[in-house]
Amino acid sequence: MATDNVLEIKNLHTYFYTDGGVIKAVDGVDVELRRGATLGIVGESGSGKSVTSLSVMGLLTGTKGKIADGEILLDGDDIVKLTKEQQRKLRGSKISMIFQEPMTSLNPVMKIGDQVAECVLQHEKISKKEALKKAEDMLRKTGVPRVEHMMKEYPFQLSGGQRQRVMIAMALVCKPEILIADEPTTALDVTIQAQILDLMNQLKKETGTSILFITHDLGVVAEVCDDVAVMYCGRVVERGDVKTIFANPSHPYTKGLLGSIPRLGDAGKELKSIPGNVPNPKYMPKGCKFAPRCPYASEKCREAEPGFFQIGEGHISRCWLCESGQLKTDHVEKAGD
Amino acid sequence: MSDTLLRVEDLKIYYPVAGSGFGKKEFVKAVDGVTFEVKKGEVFGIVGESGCGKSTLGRGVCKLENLTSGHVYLDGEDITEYNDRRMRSVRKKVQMVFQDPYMSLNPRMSVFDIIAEPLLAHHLYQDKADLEKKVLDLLHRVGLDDYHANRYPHEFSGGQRQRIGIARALAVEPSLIIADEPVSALDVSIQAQVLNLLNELKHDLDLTYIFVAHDLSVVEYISDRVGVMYLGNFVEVGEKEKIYSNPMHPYTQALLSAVPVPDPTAKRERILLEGSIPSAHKPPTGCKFHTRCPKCMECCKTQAPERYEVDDGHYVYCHLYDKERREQQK
Repeated sequence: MATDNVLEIKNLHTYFYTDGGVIKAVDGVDVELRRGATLGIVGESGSGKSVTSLSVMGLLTGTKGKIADGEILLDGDDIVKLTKEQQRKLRGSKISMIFQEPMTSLNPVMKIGDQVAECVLQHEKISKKEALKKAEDMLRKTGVPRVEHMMKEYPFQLSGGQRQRVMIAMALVCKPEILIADEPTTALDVTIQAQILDLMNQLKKETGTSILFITHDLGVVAEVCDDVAVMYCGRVVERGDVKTIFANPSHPYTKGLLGSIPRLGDAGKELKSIPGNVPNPKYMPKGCKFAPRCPYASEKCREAEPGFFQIGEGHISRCWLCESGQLKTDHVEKAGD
Repeated sequence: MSDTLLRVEDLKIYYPVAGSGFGKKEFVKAVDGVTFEVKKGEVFGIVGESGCGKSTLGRGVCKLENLTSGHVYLDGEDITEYNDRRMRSVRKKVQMVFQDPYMSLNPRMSVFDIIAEPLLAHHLYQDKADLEKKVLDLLHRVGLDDYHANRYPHEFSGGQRQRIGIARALAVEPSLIIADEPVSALDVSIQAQVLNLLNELKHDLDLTYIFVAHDLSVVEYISDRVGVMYLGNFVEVGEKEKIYSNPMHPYTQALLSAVPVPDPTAKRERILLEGSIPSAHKPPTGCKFHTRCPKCMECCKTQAPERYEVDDGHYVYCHLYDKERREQQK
């Protein structure tokens, strides 16, 4: 298959089998990550964006979660079918991840240098000394101060921004093809966030790594992403390139999200909030999951769930409103639920 | 009757930390000499990064923290030295809304009991029927329904819990509400609901807010005047329009330029600050911002800047706006 997509997620369903019933955390996600590009996955809490990233990383073991259906194609190969050992080899070398909480995702009793070098030792047959050298070079690239000292320090001695830089160094030290960043700047202050976003953009240019950027902050998406997928209740509801999504959103949920953020310089206008709450995953509404909160909802929306409709080049939306006069794409939601 | 509701003068809040041995005590200077006024009916926003002392300042104003020195005047009354008993009358006028709606509601109390508690504490009801009516009224005010009254906090979403917290604060009919990061734990669509609710309540009930937050766009949306804090001090105070369209202090400028704008076509000059906030335990000498300031001068390293009024009611704490210096430049 001649595509320039490094990663394709096709019709992914990840369910959690809990004592209280099956929670469909991810229920139909289709996204494509182009080589060298940054894809933003946006959504509110509970929309399934983090579970999507954990599914790609194969990090659901140990939880009650399981990939129930769907394919995750890395360079055209399905990684869902790989054994645990094969998946482990991919992690850190081909796909790596930065987490939201730089405070809790580093090992508190391991020196910074050793932590970064550990990643290299896992994937390359080199001596500890060489690995430490590599770690030091990578840390220097991420712009942490006093690298020689920091190699011998422990996470608690660093600030939040520095810890996130160490996480980035760990993630990129083996030059992965894909970097998954799960809310990497949410726990940071704005001035530090600006530094980290700047660093990620710069490293992306240097290494050519593709980035899957998961966030709830539309401002950050506008700054760093090339493409955007908007998620709601475990589904991608709209997808397109970043300029189209912001200038011409077609799904009512995307419109609502964009309307509810206060913008600098725009104070005084009333915020258009979305009424109601995200539905409880145990009691999902029939039909379109956004219908109970949607100002345009009709009988049809409450009855049947829409598939994707094509709106423009690479711009698709899961909303019945986009149906009329538009081309239907071949993928229509299989009525599984 | 003046229209100043609250005046804070040179307020200092220090926390003692383990000193370096015998004798000498050391302090974290969380709030280090802050002066400001809040007028009746306005929203005063306090914005800053984590660790700048904005929450401590908010709590200090209603004396939830021990004040080290300085004065707080409410309605012209100096409440600084009030003991707990005398504070009771003050607490009827000043209420707080807290950041984390998961931690600030007692999980063992029903919503009815949570909202009724301040009414009971201040004996603000005649009989049981009156109490019930008042609680239900408050619930409706914040957009909840009668049947919510008998439920417990865990049955609510974050946004609804914050509404309960607001109803509790409104119960004693205060004139000043101090909201400490009331929307930062909420999703954007819910955040907009709560912000709109706060705005509506302010107009309907003639409230005054002190709104503490780290999100600059949220503060701009809700405030009339804004104070920007850095390491325990204000660096710039003024009307919102002036601060946002014409920021004068280098820190405000950098802070505003760092906010991601939800518009992919916008191209902006970004001022990237080096490093992170120094510790409040051993803050830099002189101007506390000088270690990260792109416009740092020699005098900034030793001398703390005074307050300079650059425009009507627009104050900047920066040597760049020293009168003599400005005249020399002219």
